[in-house]
This record gives sequence, structure tokens and C-alpha cells, in this order.
Amino acid sequence: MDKTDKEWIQELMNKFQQSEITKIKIRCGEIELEMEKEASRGKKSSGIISETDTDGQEGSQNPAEEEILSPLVGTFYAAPSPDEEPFVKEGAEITADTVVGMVESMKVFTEIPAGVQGSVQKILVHDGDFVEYDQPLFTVRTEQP
Amino acid sequence: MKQIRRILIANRGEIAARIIHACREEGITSILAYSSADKNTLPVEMADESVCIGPPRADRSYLFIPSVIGAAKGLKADAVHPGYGFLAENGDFAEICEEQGLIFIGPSSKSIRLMGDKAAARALMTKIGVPVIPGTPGLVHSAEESLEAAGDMGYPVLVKAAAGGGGKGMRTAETPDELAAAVHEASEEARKAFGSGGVYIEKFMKNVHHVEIQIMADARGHVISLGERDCSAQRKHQKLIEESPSPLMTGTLRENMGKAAKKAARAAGYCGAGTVEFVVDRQGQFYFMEMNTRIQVEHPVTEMAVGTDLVRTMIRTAQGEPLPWDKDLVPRGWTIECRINAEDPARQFAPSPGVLKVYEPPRGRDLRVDSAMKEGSVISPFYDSMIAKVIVHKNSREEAINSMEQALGQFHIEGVPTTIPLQKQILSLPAFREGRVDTAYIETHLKDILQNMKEGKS
Amino acid sequence: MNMHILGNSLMTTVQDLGRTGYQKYGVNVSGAMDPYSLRTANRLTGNPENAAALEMTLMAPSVVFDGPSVIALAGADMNPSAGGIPVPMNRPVYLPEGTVLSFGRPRRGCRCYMAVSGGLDVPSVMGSRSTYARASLGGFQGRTLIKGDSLPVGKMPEKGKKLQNILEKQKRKTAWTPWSAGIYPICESFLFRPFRYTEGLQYSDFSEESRTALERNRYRVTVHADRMGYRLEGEKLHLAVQKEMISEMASLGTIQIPSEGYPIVLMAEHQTCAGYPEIGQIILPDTARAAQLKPGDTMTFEKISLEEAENIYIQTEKQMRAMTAGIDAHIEQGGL
Repeated sequence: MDKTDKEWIQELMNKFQQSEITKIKIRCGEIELEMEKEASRGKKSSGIISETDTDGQEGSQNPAEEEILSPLVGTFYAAPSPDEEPFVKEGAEITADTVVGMVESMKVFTEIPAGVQGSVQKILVHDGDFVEYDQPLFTVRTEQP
Repeated sequence: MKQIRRILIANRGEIAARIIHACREEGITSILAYSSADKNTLPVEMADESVCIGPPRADRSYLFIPSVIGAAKGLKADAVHPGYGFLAENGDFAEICEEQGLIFIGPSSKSIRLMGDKAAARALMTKIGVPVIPGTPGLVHSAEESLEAAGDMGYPVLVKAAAGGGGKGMRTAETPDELAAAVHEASEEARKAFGSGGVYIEKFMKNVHHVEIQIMADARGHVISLGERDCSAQRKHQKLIEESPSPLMTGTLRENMGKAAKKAARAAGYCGAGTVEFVVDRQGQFYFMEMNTRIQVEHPVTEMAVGTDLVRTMIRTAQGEPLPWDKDLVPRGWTIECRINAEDPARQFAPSPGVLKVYEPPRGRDLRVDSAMKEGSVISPFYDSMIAKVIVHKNSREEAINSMEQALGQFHIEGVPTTIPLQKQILSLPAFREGRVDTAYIETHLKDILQNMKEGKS
Repeated sequence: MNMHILGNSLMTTVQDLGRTGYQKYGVNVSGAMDPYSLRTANRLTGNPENAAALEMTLMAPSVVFDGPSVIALAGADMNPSAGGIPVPMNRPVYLPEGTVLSFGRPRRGCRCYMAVSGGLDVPSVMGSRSTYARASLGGFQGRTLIKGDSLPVGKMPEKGKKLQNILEKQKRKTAWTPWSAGIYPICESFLFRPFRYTEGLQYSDFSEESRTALERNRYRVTVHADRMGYRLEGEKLHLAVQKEMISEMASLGTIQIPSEGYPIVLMAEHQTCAGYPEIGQIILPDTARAAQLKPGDTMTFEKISLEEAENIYIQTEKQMRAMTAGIDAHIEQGGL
């Protein structure tokens, strides 16, 4: 692949735009690029594309891991009611629409949609924990593109 | 008496910083509720604890009651301080705090609602013998009614939203032709901002000064007046410069206005810090405008004028403690405040968000700067454009004005336009120096003032 | 707009919070057996708490509205579905015109409340729209609802319109908010906690043995359980000394002991006065909980002081107010 820097940057920007990643920092030879999207709710990507050699090829991607963040401040509930199974368990396959938990405040319970597709890696909070807005609640192993 | 140990501060910027200071001095743990847009601001660093309660939009963070209450309860706060703006004068919020076992640092929901209904507050004042601006006894409900009322009191008139405040929901009408549009616009603005579009009509007072009385009340119903603030230097009901004492104050006037303000506070069953706003005409007659049931932006003026800490006193009265004074306080010397906003006077005062590349506040004796800014701070587009408040306190008015001019000259801000050039210009006006700036002055002379400002005249 | 009842059911009536002020004339209060669920369902649709809604017992009828509507279901989960899609409980649900709402077997609990934004516009009788079927009073023609009935729905309030606006825009045709509300879940672990009571008028006339027995034993709800009261089975209870009782006032939640010894718990349509000795008075929040019990369910009891009872009542009301404010804030917010 032999592209000029400018074309490469443009292609990267397009790919970034289309992807679900919200923030990315790339160093490639003399080029350093940092891009961030307007905060898309509920997701944060810790995926970093690492730099490689100087002819502009993209580096290998680490298995992407995303976090599901709390959409509200309040009390986290892992299950729909005390007698039921939790919404998701570690290892569960989820899609963007899967409800993974609820946050309650003043007796109103707001569902937390996963917002990402993949499998639940780790549950970072316990049923009944107080959580703040944007607090990471789950890590999700997302599918490779 | 309830001992407060942990206060959740449901506000941001300079007032949040101010409340945190007061908490420190009272030995109370400060818990700051902030939106994700304010994550990297000074108050978050200052607070003992902090909690992110929502996205940048105020209606989903600072104004979203379930999130503020959720944060307060989750972090086991005893009390909530609402600051000014946001939920400070929301009777529902105060009521929910009361019911949820959180001490609301402010008056009761009942007082808030009573004084929050501007038309009802006027009616109450008339009942207890406090003079009010001539106007309709209640809301106007039809075009005919408003035309008749305005005709009776004489133009120009001011259409005001009953649920309004902070200058919103107000329109003037100079002639009967302008009245219908004024009523419609005021009503719409109020409905959007406050949820209710009822309006009443007042005579538009010309050549008056805006003079407000700071009061403080305790749970036992004792009320003290802490003197006046003259806020006539305003533009479109937004205050630019405030001072205490008022240039047209006399001992008798202060006493009478103080009495009226205290009467108003007692009639509202008030507890805590409050401000009763009046207009004073050239004959020295004063008329009730409205009562603000919160700590105000310009509270430092009174603090420096009488030598007290209003925020600490608010916290103490909220705990049930009695007021520390038994007599009214009188301003000493002369205190002036300038509100420095990130607005461009040359571009219709458009709020100008940006990054403070340089932020060097002035320093000096008897000089106070209330701010939550530092170099690199962001003036975000989501909230107000306040950068800082500069307050000076000197022995005489002339010294205070000169001291303020110096302070503004030393206030080095780069990255956003500010109101400093405008304020410097106003301070240099003969009308201001002579204490003749009334509430209409700045607006009327704005073109000239801006022209002189551009040309760098002083 | 009208709500049409498409099928028969066990016992479905129009209820609100009851007909108060007339017990002295012998007119009982009636009203929702589980008032907290009725109030919650109403608030979720933007209605005032006292709007008339449907109380559906164990088996609910399919219904359809001949206009777009905003409804909410609270209380027992009866597996509601709209046009074949399961709809969630305890939250505002938007139904496009002509969508059929149907139900299955209750997962837990006994009574489900369906509120529709605007309320059921049946005539108000003595200040209430509650049905007292025994006297053919109020509700819809004074009776339980049957297939073919058509009930008018009142004008949608502002909050209901706000909900409709938000929900109409969702991709799904039948749409609901991502948030739900309630002061406690209708689930086993809540329903079967001990039922708390304060001393009844004749408490001290009962034998020591009986007073202890009430708290030690489990009582079963028999099939003779209805809106008037629940007959229970279990350890019999006796007065220490037989005495003749003059009829006196009876109250919601009264545990009365007739001569054969099996307790009767008085519920929403209890008679206005009764002649049986009263051993206990179940507190109001727990009578609402009892409304979710079915024949075969067991009850245990726990005596508390009047002061504790008052505190629990106040706390429950505060929770309701917090929930109401929470719901309103979410409606204002555009459904978040």
C-alpha cells in the first residue's frame, strides 16, 4: 500500500467516523493524530491503534474492549427485581439493545442499554452500589471488525 | 438544631467555589455535584468529594432533580446548597429536599413559591403596606384587559411574567400598539424558561435606581437588614456594576427601606438569605419590585460593605442557629463590584465561549476576586459566561471607583472577549462618577459608550 | 375516544381511590385494593392519582382503544402484550390506534391496574368513580366489565401529551420509555413479608395464647377471598372470655375473629360496621400488599406500635411523592 500521508489520514478519519470508537490517538513515524467524537452516550473505547513503521501502514489492533458507562447517577441494580436473575452475567452475548442493568433515583428506574455488541467481560459494580454518571459499569469484549 | 456535616453543592463555577470555601471554614465536608462538562474545573479539585451527575446539558444535570437528589442521598449528604440560578428558587426541589430528609440551605418551599409568583408577591406587599410599583393587581387574561390597565397607568409599561426572574419574561411597551406583541413575547419567553406564561403589567419606571436590600432571617423569625446594594448600572436587566451604599441613600431612606424589606421577609415566613428589590425614584420614593429567595451573585458587595460572611451565615441559620446580630447592619466605606463576563460588548454581548489562554486576576488590599477560573479554564457554551467578580472596598466612592479602574486595568485575560472594556468605560462616565446612572442609562447611552470604548477613550 | 373490552375476565372493574365521607350513611369506601399501584399507574400516564382506572383480578380482558393512547400497568404482572409484542410493566406505554392489548397468566401478584392517560370518563357517583358491584354503584354501570363494553376515555392531560409526543417518534409502533417507576416491586420477597398490624380494639380481650398464635403461625388465604375481605385458615384464635359484642365500626385492614376462630381480614369493600371482635389492624401500606395475595397464599403477622405504623405510613407517602416527582422530571425531560 503506497499512499501519501494526506490520503492515509483522510482514510483513517473516514474509518474512525464510521467506527464505534469515540477517541483515538495514533503515532506513526512523524505523524501524530488525535481524534475524538462528540461524546456518544454510554461507550468509551480504550482501543488504541499502535504505531508501526514509517510507510503508513496501520498497526495491528488489540482485541478491542469497550466499557459501558452509567447513563445516570443513582443506585445500580443488576436485576429487574430482587427475585429475578440479573440482566446479564459474565460471558453473556449482548447486542447494542440488550438491557444490562438499571440505575435508580427517586424510585424511577432507567434501563441501561449496552450500546455495544459483544460479550460481557467483567461486571464492575454490585447490585445496590451507588454509581455516578459516566461511571464504567461493564467491560465488553467487542467483536473484531 | 440540626448539625450539618456534609453539604451537597448543586451548582458550578464561582458560586460552587464560594460555597466550598464556606464549608471549609465551617468544618463541613463539601460534596460537589458536577456535569461531565465541568469535570476539569476548579471547584471539582477544591471539593472534598465530588460526583458526576449528568451530561453537559443543564436540564439533564444541574436542573434534573432526580439526579441531584440521587447524588445527595447516595453520598449521604445532610444538606443541599443550591447556589443561585438552577434549582435555587424551585419550590418543588426545596419541597422534595424537605421530604427526603435533606436540609435545603435556603428558605422553605412555601416562601419560595410565594415570592416566586411575582404577581402574588406584589399583592402580598400591598396587603402589608409595602409600596409597590403601580400595576395590575394580578395577572392579565385578555388583550382588552391589558390595554385597559396600561391605558390607566400610562405608558410606557413593563409586561412581566409572574413566574419570571433574572430579567427573563419581561418586555416594555411604549405605545398601545406595542402592547400585544410585548405580552405575547414576554409570555412565550416565560413559558419556555419557567413553564408558566401568566403575565402582569407594571408602570415602566423611568429615572429610577435599582436598590435592593439584603436581609437575613433565622428559624425563629428574626430578620435583620444588612443594607442596600445599588445595581442601576445594568443593560437589559443584566447587572454590570453593583455598589454599596447607594449614591442616593440617606439614613432615613435606608431605615425605611430596611423596615419594608424586613416586613416582606416576615410576611413570607422567611428563613435564610434573601434580597428584596426596590426601585427608588428621584423624589426618594421607593417601590417594591420583587423578592429573590436565594443568595445572589452580588452578595460579596454586602459582605465587604458590612464585614460578614453571608454563605456561612446561611449554613448556620439552616441548622437552626439564631442570627449573630440583633441590630440592622449599615454599609461602611464604599464597595463596588464588577461582573466580568465572557461577552463581546461590540457584538451585542454575544456570549463567547472559549479557553482562557491567559488569566491573571488583579491583586491588592481591600480587593477580592471571586472566580472559578485559572489559566486554561474553559468557558463552556452550556452555561453562563461568568468569568469572575471583582470587588473593591475603600473609604470613599471616589477611591473605590479609582481602585476598581486600576484593578480592571490589571486584570489580564486572553482567549475570550470580556466586559472589562465596557465596565472601565462606564466607571469613567461623569454620570457614573456623579451617581446619576439610573436603570435606563446604560441602555440609552450604549451606542456612545461602545463607540468611546472602541476608540479607547476613557 | 373509547376503550373497548374484547373478552371476558374474572373480575375487572373501574376503580379510583374510593368513595370517602359516606361510611356514616352505610356506603362503604370501595376503591382500588392496592391503591399504591393505582396511583403509580396514573402518575405514569400523567394523570392525577385519583383518576379512574381498571382493576383487573387474576385474569384480565383484552382491550383496544379506538384512538392513540398512553397507558401504564402497575401491580401484578399479567404478561401484557400489544399486537403480540410483550410490553413492560410500570412505565408509560404508547399504543397506536387499534392496537390490541392482551394478557396472560399472572407471574406474581393478584391485581393489575391499567391507567389510561385522561382517565376513564364514567360518571362520578358521590364523589367517586369506584365500582361497588354489590350495590350496583358507580364505575361502569355499577358492575364488572364484560366483553363488548365500551368506556369513554377523558381528555389527555398535558403530561400525557408530552409522553405521546416523545413515544410516537420511536421506531417501534408500540413504544415505551426506557424508565419505569414504583415504590416496591411486586415480587415474592416483598409480597410475603410479615403483615404488620397494630392492636385491635379488642386485642386485650383475646387470650394470651391467641395473641401469640397470631404472630407464630402461618395463615392461608382461602378461596373465600374477595374485595370485601379474606377468610384465612390456620391456628384458631379465641377471646379469653366470651363476650357479647355490640356492632361497631369496621375498618380497612381489620383482622376480625368470628366465633369459629378463623381470622377475616377486611379489605376495600368491607362492611361499614361489624360485630366480631377485632384482634388487630393491618397497617395501610400492608393492606395494599395483601391485595396482591391469591387464594392459597400464606400470610404471617407482626405486631408493631401505633407510632411505628404512623412512621411507616409517612415514609411510604414520602416515597410516593419522591416517585411522583421523579416521574414528572423524566416526563419533562423528554423520556431520557
